[in-house]
Amino acid sequence: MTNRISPDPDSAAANTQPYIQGDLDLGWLENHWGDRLVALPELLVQSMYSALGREIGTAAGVVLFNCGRWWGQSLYTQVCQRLASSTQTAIADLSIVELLLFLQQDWVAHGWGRLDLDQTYQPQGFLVVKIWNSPFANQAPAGSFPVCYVEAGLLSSFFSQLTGQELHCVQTTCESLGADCNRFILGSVKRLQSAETMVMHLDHDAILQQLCR
Amino acid sequence: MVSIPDHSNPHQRKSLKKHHPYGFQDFFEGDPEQGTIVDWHGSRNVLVTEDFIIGLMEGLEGLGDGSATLLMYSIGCEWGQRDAQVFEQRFEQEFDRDVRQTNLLFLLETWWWPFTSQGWGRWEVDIADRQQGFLSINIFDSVVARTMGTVGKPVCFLYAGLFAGFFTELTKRQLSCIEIQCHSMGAAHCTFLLGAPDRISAAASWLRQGATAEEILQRLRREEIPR
Repeated sequence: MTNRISPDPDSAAANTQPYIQGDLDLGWLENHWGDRLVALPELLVQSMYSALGREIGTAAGVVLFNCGRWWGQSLYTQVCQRLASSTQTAIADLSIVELLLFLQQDWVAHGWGRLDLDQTYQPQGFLVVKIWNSPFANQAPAGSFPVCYVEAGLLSSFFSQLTGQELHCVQTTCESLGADCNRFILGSVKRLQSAETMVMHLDHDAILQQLCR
Repeated sequence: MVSIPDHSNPHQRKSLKKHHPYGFQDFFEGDPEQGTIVDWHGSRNVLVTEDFIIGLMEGLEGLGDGSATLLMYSIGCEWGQRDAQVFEQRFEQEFDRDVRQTNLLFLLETWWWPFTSQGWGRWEVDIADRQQGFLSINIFDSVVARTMGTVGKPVCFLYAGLFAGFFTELTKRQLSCIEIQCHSMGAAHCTFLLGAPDRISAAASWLRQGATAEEILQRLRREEIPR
């Protein structure tokens, strides 16, 4: 028994090419490109934070960041393949607006929240990514630091491969701390080193001002 | 602290009338404006590729202390315990019946169906040996084993933890679980053994000595438990 949905019911392409489908005979989910998917329910996400926090303390953040990095590498490869098969376009040939549209559709279809890019600081070597309704921030225990480690790792490896430079990613605001959205700064590893500690006492704008000095 | 999904939402109210909402379109409801997916029971879900599972294992193995499998089991245990608490409330609300006064197979099928919808594979539970203090569970198409490929050893510690946590919470007895046969060892499906810690400990020892899943089950049936 197969059931299908697409993220945008108004999209003609989505109606003919369902984005995600489920097969109850197999207990499988897969996307339009044949990648197997699994749904992580909120209790599993809560348990990841809770069990890792209890067992390994602050190293949990590193584990989840590295998980995101691995995932981001594969996501980049998959996005390249999808672009090549559906539009015969190389990712490097896309404008930032086209890439953003592609990523936004993926984010929404998989329940990863909403995503936007802010290129204001691109001339200074920084890209700001904003994510609303993160499924990770949403389920993490309330603390005093940003907790979207998975997304930070994913963004760092995705954009590292996209730009061909080793980029780091630091989260400066977090919905789990009451922020309106999760903000991430992407930049070179060297230039972002100091931002890790600034997160503890400066807000997002102040961090960017310091970094751009 | 376990968060109980908000039962007041319209999607949840439908679930009180329908007992088989497991097709993808029934089970999941996406909100393109918010970028969220909520399941039939009102719980938020996030869809990930298999690479997320590999990434989690890689991240844990990066700790370099050999604790990755134990940590996956711990995550599963906590998930199972939390899920049992939510499931118990949900079941009693939906069927107006105490879980402990319900046909066991019906109860367990009701529990697993959402996991099938969520892509965690089909299952088959064998409760024939429960008088001997254990039961076995087969998982077909484990997302962990399928993802890890053939590596010659059991890899589905997340599932083992999930079963241990769920049944411990449900029965209010400390139970353990071990995977005694895995798709990653070349088997057609994964087999888990759930029971009291002494039985599972014995099974783990036999497994290390090279016993097959069938041999382990036979030995447990003969009650060859070291005292």
